[in-house]
Amino acid sequence: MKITINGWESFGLRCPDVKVNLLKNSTPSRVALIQMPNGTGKTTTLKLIRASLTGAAQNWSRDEITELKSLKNPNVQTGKFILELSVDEKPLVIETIIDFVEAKVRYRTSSILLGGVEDGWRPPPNIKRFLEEKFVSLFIFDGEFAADLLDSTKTKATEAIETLSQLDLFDEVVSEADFFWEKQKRDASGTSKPYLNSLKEREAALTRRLAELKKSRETAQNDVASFSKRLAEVDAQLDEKIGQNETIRSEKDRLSKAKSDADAELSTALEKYMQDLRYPHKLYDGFVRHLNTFKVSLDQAKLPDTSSRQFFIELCEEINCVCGRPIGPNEQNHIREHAEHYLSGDISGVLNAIKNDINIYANQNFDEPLSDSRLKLSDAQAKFHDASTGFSNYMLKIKDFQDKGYEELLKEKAQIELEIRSRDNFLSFMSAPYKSSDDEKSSSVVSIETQLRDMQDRIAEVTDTVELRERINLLSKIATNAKLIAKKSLHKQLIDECNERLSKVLVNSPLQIEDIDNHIKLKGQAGGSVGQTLAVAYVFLTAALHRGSHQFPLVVDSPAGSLEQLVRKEVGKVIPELCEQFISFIIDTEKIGFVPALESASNDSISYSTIFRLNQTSEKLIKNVPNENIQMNGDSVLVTGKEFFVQFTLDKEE
Amino acid sequence: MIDSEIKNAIRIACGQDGQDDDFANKLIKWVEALSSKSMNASQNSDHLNVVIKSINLGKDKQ
Repeated sequence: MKITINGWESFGLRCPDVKVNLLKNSTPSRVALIQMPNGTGKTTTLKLIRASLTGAAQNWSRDEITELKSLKNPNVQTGKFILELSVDEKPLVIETIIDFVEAKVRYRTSSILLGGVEDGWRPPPNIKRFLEEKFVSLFIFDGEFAADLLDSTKTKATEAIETLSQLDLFDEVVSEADFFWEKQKRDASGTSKPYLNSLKEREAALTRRLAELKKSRETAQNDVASFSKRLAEVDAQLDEKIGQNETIRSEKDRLSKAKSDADAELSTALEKYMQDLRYPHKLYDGFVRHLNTFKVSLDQAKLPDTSSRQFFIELCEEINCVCGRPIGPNEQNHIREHAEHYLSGDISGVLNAIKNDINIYANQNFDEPLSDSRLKLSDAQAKFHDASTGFSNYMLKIKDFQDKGYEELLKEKAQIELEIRSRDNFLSFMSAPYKSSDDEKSSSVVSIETQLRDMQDRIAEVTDTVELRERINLLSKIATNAKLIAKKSLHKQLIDECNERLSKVLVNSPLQIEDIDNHIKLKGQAGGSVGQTLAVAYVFLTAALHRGSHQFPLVVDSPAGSLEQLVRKEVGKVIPELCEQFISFIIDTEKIGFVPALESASNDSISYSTIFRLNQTSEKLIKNVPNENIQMNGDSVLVTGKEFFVQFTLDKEE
Repeated sequence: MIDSEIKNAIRIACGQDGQDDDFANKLIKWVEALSSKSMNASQNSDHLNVVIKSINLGKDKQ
């Protein structure tokens, strides 16, 4: 990744209205010196370069925006700063447009990747991470930051390495893993090992209960089988005794058939009545009214169609919105993102099914009202009662015609039937469906089996969750450990590299880095002079910025102000070697020692610009400057060229 | 692209924890994707799922 600054243009701002071009034969000079006297808007220019790179201006307050307003022209309504960059040799232009009336800032971005100009701060995704504020502050650089690098109370040195070497990716891994875990935890109701153990205990209790119930059921079923067998034998014996009298037998058969018929009729009537009860609209005709009203409301609200996700997805394909406004790429993205908040296909399907059912069921004519089926059920109950009583009475009456054995058989039959009924009841309880109020003490095999299945599903889910926690813990541990390993290795490499460079830069006052532990720790001394600090900062940052295959410009405000002349020469000699593009905002007093050293090390790839305000003093300076070297906009003057740059001193003229 | 130091550190940390090369490669792939800042939430979640599922909890060794 290679980022270079090709130039910038400003208008209507506190800094001069100028167009600065740093290109020389389509390539940025290795060293670009911008001479701006104090009070010319150097800080504003740097602030705008930073804001163009980071996109931070969108969050500026009204006061911050007002401070950027041109002092010369306070009625100006809009200011503009255009930063021209190259990213891997491809142009990228970021415009910062400042509306002083509304106190708002907006951006426009143009690049080949975007296919032209787009509203907003939209640098290509592959460089976004290098344009975060903490990263940009490493290459748009000032003296205060240099001091922080060597300040033992601050952690700027470590932060710089972590940012430049992407060690913060490991923090991102840990934070992504934590976020993933929090999301999974919300979806699962239990997550701990003790909870898993308690579920397993309940599973064991349910398994034991199921085994007990199944054993009891088997005993009851065996009992029913043997009682039924005996009942058949008793019935056969009774039939034999009755069969001896043709009249009695035929009357008994007739009554028995009447009882069976009544029983069948009762079952049919009961089933019909139960079925009718399931239709709420049969119970109360108000339901039909209310359901129809509900359907009409859905139709009036055009639900689910207008609130479905599909509606919005299809809307994206339209040229204009339903409100008449055009739909561009930004609107399309916004609609697509927000479509997720609307009804999914499933929910729309349910609403449509409800509407359809209201049409079918609520409005059909019933062939038989509920009162009719209730009447039929009462009739069938009475009929069954009569037939059953008639049969029992006849069986009791005929005992007088039989021998002693017949009565005993009747008694045994009654006893067996009682036994069978009691076991049938027990078996019926065992087959009862599961109810949500059931627990592991339930007597229903079906219920216990259902509870056991649910418990096993729950255990599987919690086991997965517990395992997931272990996996995420391991991932975080590995990421944290990897960060420490990478940090140690990077620190060692950087210390070696910086010490080698420092031995060249500070020949007469050798200074070495001992360790990088939050801050840069110097060998044998607590701190350096201001000049030494700046020299160490240059060396450290350029070494760090140079790591890997990335190249960034180094933009420095007052690069040599605090350096002694000898150190200036050394630093000036080394800087062109340290970075691909060095842009420096310089004042007159910094030039001595520093500029000649930079020039000789830059292999002629150096450009000189002088920016100042036109006034009575400075007006005399430009009298003999060729027109092609001067750019004037109102009171702003930009003069290019070495000769003017070197000679420019406002103080002397004054 | 991420620094070779980062890749090396991931491999060393994975080795120290008893994880195999396959897991280390998957973790590196995800970290590279994170570094590119070009993933959406769903792609990120897919990557993370692959990484988490590949972690060896050490139960097989017991």
